[in-house]
Amino acid sequence: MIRKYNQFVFLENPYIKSSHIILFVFWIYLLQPINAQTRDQKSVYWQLGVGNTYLYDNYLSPLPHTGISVLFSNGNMKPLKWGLPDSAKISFDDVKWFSRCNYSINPVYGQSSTGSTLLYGNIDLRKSILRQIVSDPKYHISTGAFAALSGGGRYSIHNGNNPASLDAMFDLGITVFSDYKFTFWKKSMIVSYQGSMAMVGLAFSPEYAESYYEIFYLSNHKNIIKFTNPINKQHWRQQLSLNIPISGRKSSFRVSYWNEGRISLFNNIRTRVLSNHFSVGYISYFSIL
Amino acid sequence: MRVPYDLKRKNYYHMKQTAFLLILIFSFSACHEDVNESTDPQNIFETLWSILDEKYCFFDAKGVDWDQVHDEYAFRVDTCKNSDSLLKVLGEMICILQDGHVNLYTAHDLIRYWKWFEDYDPNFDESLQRSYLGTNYQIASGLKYKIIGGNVGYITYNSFSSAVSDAGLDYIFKYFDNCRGIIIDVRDNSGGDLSNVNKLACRFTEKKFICGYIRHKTGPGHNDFSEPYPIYLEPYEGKRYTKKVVILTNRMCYSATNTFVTVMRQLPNVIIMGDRTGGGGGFPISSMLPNGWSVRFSSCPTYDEKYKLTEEGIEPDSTVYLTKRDIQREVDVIIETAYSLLQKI
Repeated sequence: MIRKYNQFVFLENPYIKSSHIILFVFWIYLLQPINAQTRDQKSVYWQLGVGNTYLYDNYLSPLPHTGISVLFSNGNMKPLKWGLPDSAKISFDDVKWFSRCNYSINPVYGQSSTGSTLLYGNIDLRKSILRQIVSDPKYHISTGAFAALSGGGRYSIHNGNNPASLDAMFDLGITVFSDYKFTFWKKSMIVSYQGSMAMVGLAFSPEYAESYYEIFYLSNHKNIIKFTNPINKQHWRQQLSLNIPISGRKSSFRVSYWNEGRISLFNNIRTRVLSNHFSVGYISYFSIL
Repeated sequence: MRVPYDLKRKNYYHMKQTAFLLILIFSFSACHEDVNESTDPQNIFETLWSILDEKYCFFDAKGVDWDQVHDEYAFRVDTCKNSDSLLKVLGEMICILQDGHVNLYTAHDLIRYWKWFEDYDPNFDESLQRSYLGTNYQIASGLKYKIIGGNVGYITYNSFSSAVSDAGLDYIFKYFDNCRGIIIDVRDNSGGDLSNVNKLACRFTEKKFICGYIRHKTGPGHNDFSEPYPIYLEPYEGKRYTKKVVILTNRMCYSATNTFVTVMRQLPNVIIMGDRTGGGGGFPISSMLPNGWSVRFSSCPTYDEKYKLTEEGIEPDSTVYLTKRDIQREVDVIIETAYSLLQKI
């Protein structure tokens, strides 16, 4: 029997029913929003999410592992004064460039169909620079580039002699950000989307059946750094968020859906980390222009 | 607010560009391969056969035609009615490799090839060893040690899995400073952590030298190997021991212990005494099967300083056997011979 894996494995979780999601969204709506972020403000956000992650690493096991995962994310988005006069009075609509910084931590507890356990953890740091290319009173679209550093590893509790494999990578890629302002039941909200895709970079990978003892203890570092491209490595991240301003505060409540994937094939070692998370968060706004 | 027509056109153009990027991102996020997780006996057999086919490192060295093994055992697996009969067939299959590092782990059994020591005399008796150690020996870093009569130091090390600390070794070699020499008894030590091999061996050399080589698989082909990578032994910067050392071995010296003997026999002040070691010169790695069984196998061959495989074991400099009659007489002739040798110095 060949088991097919839906990348939206979160939706297969029997403990989460659609009625829970509807009730949660309704509860958020009751938070009485009154305003929304404007383009001149720096925003800082914190998010915590739970979801499901699919893990596969044929260096450790021919079996895929899936399990619950946690996502903590912190970052900011701020307008840049690039190309603008160094003047105190700048119209908000003049701002064309933005930067986004983000770091995220993602631990996973994965289990295979046989009950074997695979632990996974990843830290990702990234900075994006975006230029606004579509501007409308209600919506904006920005595109740009990002640089990311990430590191992590998998640990198989059942493997005695080669229990772990490491991830370490540097990515350069493209990113798209858009937001749409709307009013729902007399309340102003913003829905935003950011999608990122790594294009080139560097990644660590042992050779096909090379032991980590040889790499780290005997210091054989030959062929362990790989140049990456969309053929040998695909790394994407998508985040769809709804920002709901909180009454009387320069802040918003955020609910997000994250979809992230890391697929690589180096030296015949195939790895896949596919995750879906629902997160809640808090955003603070600061005027900086 | 009314949006000017030019701006609308510009926005439309940029939105097309953005849509292209989004399609690119979604197209990658939509695909990944299926994995066959069936617990059908044939799939378990194929998974095990493929793991070994692609990653096991001694097919050519041992002259095993693995494709022929597939043809023979695929037919036999078809007749398996339950997991016990499947385990039996798969166990027979992996034992063709005659490698102590190839094991199949299940919840209720460990399938192994142990003929590398089972077919030979043990040349070791634990109660005899205890009679030499007595009860007033010291223990440091997994090593038991004492000065036996005649100013000869004696160390026994049962497993390289027991951590070796620098402070412990400093003390031991200072303790043996005035001895004529020391006996290191690694009989029945079936291996452990290779880093402990280096920690112990570096105490006996005065210069850095190539003590062996390692290679690893670079692809699934039986001959896809990396270039040999030299392994160096560097002298420890602190307390070292350069007097005569006798290493006692038997067929149970396997894996990391085999590596220890390979390294130590290259030192001018070291004599290997006893029986041939058991071998185990392949660095093992583990994997899993779809029914929850685990498999371990050799994947990185190691070589001695002359680029000869160490998988078949190391011949001692001086072959000495412990017979049943010696055990009845309560004399460990291997320890006694080493002791006499050190007395003559």
